Amino acid sequence: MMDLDRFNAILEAYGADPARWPDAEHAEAEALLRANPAAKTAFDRAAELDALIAPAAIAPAPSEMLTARLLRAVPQPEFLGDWKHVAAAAALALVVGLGGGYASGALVPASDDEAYYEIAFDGLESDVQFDWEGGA
Amino acid sequence: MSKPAGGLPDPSAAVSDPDAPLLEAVGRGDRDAARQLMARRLPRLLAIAQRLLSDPVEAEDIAQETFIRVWKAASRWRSGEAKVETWMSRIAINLCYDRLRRRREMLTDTPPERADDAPGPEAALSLGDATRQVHTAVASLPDRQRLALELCHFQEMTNIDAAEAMEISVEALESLLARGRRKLRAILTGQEDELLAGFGGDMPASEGMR
Repeated sequence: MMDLDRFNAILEAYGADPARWPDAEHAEAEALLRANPAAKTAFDRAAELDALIAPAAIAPAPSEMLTARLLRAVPQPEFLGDWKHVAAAAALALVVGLGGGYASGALVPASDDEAYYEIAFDGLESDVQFDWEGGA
Repeated sequence: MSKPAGGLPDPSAAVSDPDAPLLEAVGRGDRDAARQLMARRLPRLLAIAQRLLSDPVEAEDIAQETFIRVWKAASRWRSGEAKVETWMSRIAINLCYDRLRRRREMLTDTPPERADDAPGPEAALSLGDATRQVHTAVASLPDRQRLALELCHFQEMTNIDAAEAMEISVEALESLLARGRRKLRAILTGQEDELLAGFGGDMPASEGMR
């Protein structure tokens, strides 16, 4: 069964709303809350803070201009309609792909996941490392 | 979704990702899918960026840049490699980090007359005193504590997703959250009754924080 220290740590981090508690510890935390008066006291204290900070929630609505710009930026498929162009492009892509893949196989990122992140962060001046307030 | 108390986030936890089919459709040029993905994720990205940057205009810039990068990568997306929502949040967060770093470099070069992370004048006009006070308290938190609070408390992301978006362990996330909440408690202690009354009476009565 969960001890009071861990229960308090959960409250300190996630607050008193059980929906925010870690799933794996949810049931034990609820059981401790029902059984232990000290847990109930700590829970009430956390709930007070939750109520105080609730109004700090922000829900900005995207502007119509932003959504319109983003929709216009959706990339369109390049080869629609003319099958000859599609076939030619596919043949060219096959040749280039096979040749390029053979030549630069060693340069391919270790996983698709890495490739996605490389695309995502391409152009960033800093490489995630940031001068925070003193570590986690 | 399983949310262990500790350890590094597990990318394979993304068993079913409702955003993945939308992103794959965007990769085929499907604008309806793009519209749906924006409806699901754009408000959250804006909130994250606004929480970090305290500037709605810059927040829109970040959201735009994030989606542009997502559109570009969409055709190469394969479900199961990562969770779309977490990936998008991570892009936005890193873009925000970059802006914050540049801001601090500029501040070092030319110190401002007054540094203030509180809501801007326009936002302040629309907020009551009590609400503004709480916004100011949250804005005073260090960046990572503020971000952790935004992801877990306000956006209600799971601890695993939030930790992955921030590229930290779940333990580190819990530490940031606890430190942030402790600081908020210290700032707001002694004002509970006035604040709760100022929120409009729809909050539970307080017996005071200890």
